[in-house]
Amino acid sequence: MSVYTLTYRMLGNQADAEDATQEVFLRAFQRLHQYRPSEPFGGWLTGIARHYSIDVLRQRRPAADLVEPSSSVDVERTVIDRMDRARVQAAVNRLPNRERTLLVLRYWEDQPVDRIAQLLGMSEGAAKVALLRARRSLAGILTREVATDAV
Amino acid sequence: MQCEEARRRLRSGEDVEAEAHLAECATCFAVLEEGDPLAGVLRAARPEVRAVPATIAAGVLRRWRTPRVSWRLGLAAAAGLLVVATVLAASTVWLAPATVAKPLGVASNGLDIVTTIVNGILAVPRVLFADRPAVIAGYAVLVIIVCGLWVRLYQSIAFQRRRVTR
Repeated sequence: MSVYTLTYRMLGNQADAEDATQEVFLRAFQRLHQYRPSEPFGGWLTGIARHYSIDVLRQRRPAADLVEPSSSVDVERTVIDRMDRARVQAAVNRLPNRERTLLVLRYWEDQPVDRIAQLLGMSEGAAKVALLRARRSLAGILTREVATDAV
Repeated sequence: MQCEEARRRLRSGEDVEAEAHLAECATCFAVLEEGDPLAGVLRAARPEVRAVPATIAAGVLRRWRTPRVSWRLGLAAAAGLLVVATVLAASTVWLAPATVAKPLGVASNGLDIVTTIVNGILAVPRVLFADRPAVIAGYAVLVIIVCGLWVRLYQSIAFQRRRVTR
């Protein structure tokens, strides 16, 4: 997977992804002496991209509309079954940065929970709970959107 | 708390006690995640691999060529150099006033200027260690090393690159 795709998934828009990709390649070049040839180069490079994207997300302002988690599980399941890809992506982008990062790392980057915890500087247990809450927040957004559409 | 009870509570909403169980239980995390349709929806909604814009390579090169001077590091380096120069000048004036009797302004040519500067830099060790030329030579080498390190520091500052504002 390319650095650009990774940064796009992590940051959620083309302009930031381009900016981040350029910065990642510069950093990789400047830190080339830290690369160990025994490791895959792609993994090393995407590691830099992942860290940099998380730094960028940390520096972003918190989302203005903080999401309230939803607990109406049955309604959500019905709604979620009808979701299209673009709508889900848009909803993920509306999440607060921390929750968005958690979901992107877990479901779009297929990172294990212990790795996510390490990247975000939290315990593994805290990451598990945060992932559950992030999914609830996303479900809340999607449910509200569908309800708005219905009206 | 038993796993079944924790999962039941977590499925129906937030529960601090059940979340504490979840934090410690890998099985509950896996079961809840796999049983959550949103996890599958999220995976299916993963943005596809995107074509890399043609502007990326040019952008990297542009950043590479744009020096970034960190003002904090530059200021610290300049302040350090100023302190060293001041101490050197003050000790030269104090210990070897004859060396600075001829100001640089009246130096007749380039060689004269260089000689005056070198004499000024070496004035202190020449006064203090007049009978030990090895110490004076060591001092000269030290000055050269310090100057070299400062040049290297400046280069490392300039080596950093600036984020190009879009």
